[in-house]
Amino acid sequence: MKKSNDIAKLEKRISAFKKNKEAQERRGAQISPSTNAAKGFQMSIELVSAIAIGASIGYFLDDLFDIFPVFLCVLTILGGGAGVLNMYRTAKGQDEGEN
Amino acid sequence: MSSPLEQFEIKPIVGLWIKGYDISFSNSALAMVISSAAIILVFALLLRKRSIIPNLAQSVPEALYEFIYNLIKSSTGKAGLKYFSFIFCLFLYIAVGNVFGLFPYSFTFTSHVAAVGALSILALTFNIIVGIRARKLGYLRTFLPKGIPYALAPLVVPIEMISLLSKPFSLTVRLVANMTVGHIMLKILGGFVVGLGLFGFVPIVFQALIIIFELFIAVLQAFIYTVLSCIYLGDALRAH
Repeated sequence: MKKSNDIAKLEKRISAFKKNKEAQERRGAQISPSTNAAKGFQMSIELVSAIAIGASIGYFLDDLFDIFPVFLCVLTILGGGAGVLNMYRTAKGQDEGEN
Repeated sequence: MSSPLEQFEIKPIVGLWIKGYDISFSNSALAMVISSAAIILVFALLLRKRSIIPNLAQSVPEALYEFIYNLIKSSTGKAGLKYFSFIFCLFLYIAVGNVFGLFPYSFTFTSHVAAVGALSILALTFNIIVGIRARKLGYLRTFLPKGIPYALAPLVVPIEMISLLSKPFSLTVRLVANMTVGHIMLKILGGFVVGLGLFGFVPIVFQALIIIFELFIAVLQAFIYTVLSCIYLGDALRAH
């Protein structure tokens, strides 16, 4: 009698664990173990790197076509736009992961 | 006392110049070879006796395999599983490289923009090729997401292109900055041990704690690098 009781208990625990695991999987489709500080650090890098890439592409194109500040100015501003877009996407992804 | 940045110096072991290009076998290259060889050796040793019911040695690589498998499945879906081997290698290479750098007298090749940048550019090229193969011309939709009027294309297309190109850069900077900062901190604390004389045991305690933290950071950064590569791969495989 005691043995079957134990098995029933174990089954209950297994099913509870499975339910919990499924719920966890549903919640965390995108695994994000990093803390919010790390997310912030990542976003700041994304903003700066997009501007840097935009500026460097602009500088390269200016060098290529010999019209110095035109592409540098335009692509630096566009790089800023790309940086904000990247940050926005990171933030949006995080919100989706939490809900 | 030596500078805390001295540990990042690349020194050639076997000098080799071809047509003005320096392709010497450096201490960085040696670290890469050692960590790659370590991965292959450890995996070969652990997987020597393969059975359906895994023993303790076999369960370690299997757990790692499952971990990365689930990671790819959750961030790219079933379509991304084809590229499992690439992502798995990327994770192991960076994780072992980071941890290897924590050993005394070793070299952290992941603290160099050149090494990690090359890896990131490789991953970006891989993503672009995979995206084009999966979606053919539809891949160009990445640069002009649905729902955006064509009048805005001259503005949106360059922004999306810069956004795509900046991804490997931000990946690289994150990993390199984390590795460099940790190693500099360890070295500076190590300098305090000598400088403080009798009270030198205080920084040693701190250093012991920081080493543990650095081990955690080493694996975590490799994990973050892999997760983000997976997310970018997922973006390449499907439209926004």
